[in-house]
Amino acid sequence: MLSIRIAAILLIGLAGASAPARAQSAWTDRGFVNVSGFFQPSSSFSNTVQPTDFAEPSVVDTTYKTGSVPGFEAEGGARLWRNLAIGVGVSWFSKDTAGAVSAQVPHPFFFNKPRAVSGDANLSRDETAVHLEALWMVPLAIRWQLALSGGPSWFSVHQDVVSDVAITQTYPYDSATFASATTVHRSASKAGFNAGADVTFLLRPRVGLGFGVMFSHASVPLDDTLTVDAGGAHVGGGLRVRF
Amino acid sequence: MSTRFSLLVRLGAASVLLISAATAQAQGRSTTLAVSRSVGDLRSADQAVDAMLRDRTLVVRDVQRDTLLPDRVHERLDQYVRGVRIVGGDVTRQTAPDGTVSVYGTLHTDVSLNLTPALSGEAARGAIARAAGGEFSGSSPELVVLPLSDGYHLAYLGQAFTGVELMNVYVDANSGVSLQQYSDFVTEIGHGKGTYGDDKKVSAKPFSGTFIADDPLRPAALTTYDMKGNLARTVSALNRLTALATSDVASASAAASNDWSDGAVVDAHVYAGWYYDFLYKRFGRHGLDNRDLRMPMLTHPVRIQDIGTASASVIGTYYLNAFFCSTCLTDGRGAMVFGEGAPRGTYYSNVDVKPFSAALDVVSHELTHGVTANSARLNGFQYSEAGALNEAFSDMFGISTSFFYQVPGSGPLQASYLLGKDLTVPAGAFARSMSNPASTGDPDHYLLRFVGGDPHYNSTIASHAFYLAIEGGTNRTSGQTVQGVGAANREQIEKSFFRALTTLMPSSSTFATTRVTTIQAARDLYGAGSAAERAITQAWDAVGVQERTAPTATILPNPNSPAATACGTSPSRPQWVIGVTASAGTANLRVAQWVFDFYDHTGAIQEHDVLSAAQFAQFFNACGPGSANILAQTDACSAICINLSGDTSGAAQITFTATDDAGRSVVFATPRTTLLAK
Repeated sequence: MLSIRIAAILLIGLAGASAPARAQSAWTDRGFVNVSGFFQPSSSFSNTVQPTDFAEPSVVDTTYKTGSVPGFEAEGGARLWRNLAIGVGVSWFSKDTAGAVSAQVPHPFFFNKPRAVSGDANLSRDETAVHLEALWMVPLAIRWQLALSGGPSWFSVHQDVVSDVAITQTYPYDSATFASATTVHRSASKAGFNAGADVTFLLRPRVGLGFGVMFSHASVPLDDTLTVDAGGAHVGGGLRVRF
Repeated sequence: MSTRFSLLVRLGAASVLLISAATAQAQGRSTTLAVSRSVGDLRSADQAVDAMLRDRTLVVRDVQRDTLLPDRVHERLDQYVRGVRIVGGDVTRQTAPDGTVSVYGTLHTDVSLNLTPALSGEAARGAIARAAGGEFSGSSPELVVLPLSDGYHLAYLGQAFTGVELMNVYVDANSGVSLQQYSDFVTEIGHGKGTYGDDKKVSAKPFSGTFIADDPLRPAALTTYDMKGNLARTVSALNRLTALATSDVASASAAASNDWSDGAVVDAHVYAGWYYDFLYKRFGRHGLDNRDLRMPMLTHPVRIQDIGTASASVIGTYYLNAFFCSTCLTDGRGAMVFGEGAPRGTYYSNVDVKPFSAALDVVSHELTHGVTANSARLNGFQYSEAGALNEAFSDMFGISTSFFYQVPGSGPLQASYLLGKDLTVPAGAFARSMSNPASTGDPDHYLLRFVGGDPHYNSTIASHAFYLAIEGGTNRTSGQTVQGVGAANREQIEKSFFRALTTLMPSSSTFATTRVTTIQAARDLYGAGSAAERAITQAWDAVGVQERTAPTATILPNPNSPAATACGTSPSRPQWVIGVTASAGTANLRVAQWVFDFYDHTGAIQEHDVLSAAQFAQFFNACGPGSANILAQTDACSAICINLSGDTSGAAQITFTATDDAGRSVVFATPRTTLLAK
């Protein structure tokens, strides 16, 4: 929610700043290419699975914490009509994330006598998104350009998911200790949306630097019990080419 | 005495000792050791034990570290005379880093017996087989010295299989005459069947595409066999002729599944595991022998559909029974067998008898026999009280296991003091009550014991004391009240009794020995004057068990009504059948004279009969061979029919005069016992 609010404030601010530019001139470039690095703020989600261990369901709770993620994004587009352009972008990030696992593991001999264990799991996640964008390009000043964009996105998520825990136990098995998490690799895709704003400062007539914010989102079901949020707000910057 | 009383041949259904006048016996002296730091001359007893260890008349049988007090060590020592073991001559010694803590047991001295047998070992095998009416089983018979109430006998001990039971048999090593025999199947008489449909976890091992009831998780090998109703194979396996194979191990309901639907198998396997866990968690003990002895459980020894044609002995052993056999299977290390039960209508019209593994307390009871067999033993001495104590301890820890796992209550799968409650529907049809033994027809007081009788019957005297020490309450016979430690502290009493059984009690233990060793155990664990020591002491007092330091005599059972039918040749009516027990204290006794006094209804002396030692030997043969001798810590008993010359009420009293080992004259008497007409 915080990242969404930041994006909204930026859009409002940039919209205000563009008002004089609209009066100045139309966007005349034929197209653009943006290459950026970005930073996506941390996010987390949790999941509970109930694998059968010792003839009884275990309860395995995992909190997945994705720290601030650096990613890569490239996009390009062409002017369609006046300041309106159409573009396509690809963003990608990959990160090993920490999963905090706590589990109630059944006793091997008795029902309803679970042993509590907890530990951390190393989990990888990578996310690729393809964004189709309609852009409204606003020249702000001689060297400044603002691009407001939005459109559908297609997300592909690859996530390690904790499916069970491995424990160490010794007779009489009334307690156990966490040994490791058993994980499965899940992949899924889902359509979503994107919206963003990007400000470019042209160092030369056709080359500049830019920075922007983007919010994208899709709820991607990884399996029957786990749906994750893909996308989110991210800020980034990089090379801007106009032609 | 002619018309006043007559001898009944047997006292009830007791298993009596068989002995022939032709057997050779010799004299000696037995000394009972029951000393600890707070009671008796521990130093001299300890020195005596050390001296006997040096000259190898005592030999260490077993040494175990204490599982509850880590700095203690317990030794079990067997006594030998010139290389021949004396049966029941064993001692337990508890030591701490600063010296010996306690010594219990019985030692025999000055045994004058020719130890060269006339019978060869081969001839003894035949004598043993003939005595049992079966085939000799196992290795060579052991030459032993067997103390009986008439003296010491050189005997061979061996086993014979009757086709139904494995019998331990003592035969005279010179004449081959049977001296004593008892079943190695420690049985729980009861009736049961089936499971209650409750969910249980079965610890199983994958094997050849399915799962078998072979527990891979517990330290001890715990295996449950499905004998598939094959009695011949069951008997052959028990008799060590056939080795059980993996194909005999019970398997899951369907190939490749780990689902188990055979209730008898599930209950046997799961409850045996729970019992193993109970021993470990409660007492720190590793299985039956504290060394993770394997635990084979045999289920389905017979087929239900054969019950109609089965013999009474097969029904009593393999249908309506469960038992532990300490020497069964090819390795001779023992097995548990659970009877098939009898569904309603197959044997009883109104009782559904479930398989005998259906009750947690029964499974635990049988397995406790395994603990006893590997510690105090207590088996086969039915002429003493050890057999009853063996059953009592099995009841105690059968029930204790139930309370460890189940919620208290009277319903199925709930813990109660009614042993075997879950064996039948309706519940408890053939159960034994520890809280109120009279309610199941069992004695709650030492005065009500049946000397030489069924050990299950007499067991409730001790198990009721165990109950009182936990729960408190008033003994119905003595009226004495016990301040128990409370159910929340039941662990204290369980640990005290378990410690006594597994470390302090010798094989020849009596109720009196059990009293002093359980009190000692409470003192060891919780200190002198502790609530546990107080509760146990009060409980033994309440059930009438005192230290047997002096001779006692009782008239049993309470003869407050005359016999329903005439029991003698005298025309005088009414007549009463009384059971008379004369018990030695810490010394051997030789009865010189006994006097029978009869009182009329006014209390005036009616007759005074002076009887001889020979007449004592003639009459007192119901719990041992007729003899004028009473060995230390043992009983001589008789069932006698008496009348009061037509008087319908009055009283009787018997006074005994004997000499002890030191030649001192000892006089002891029964209470004056009231006789009333119906």
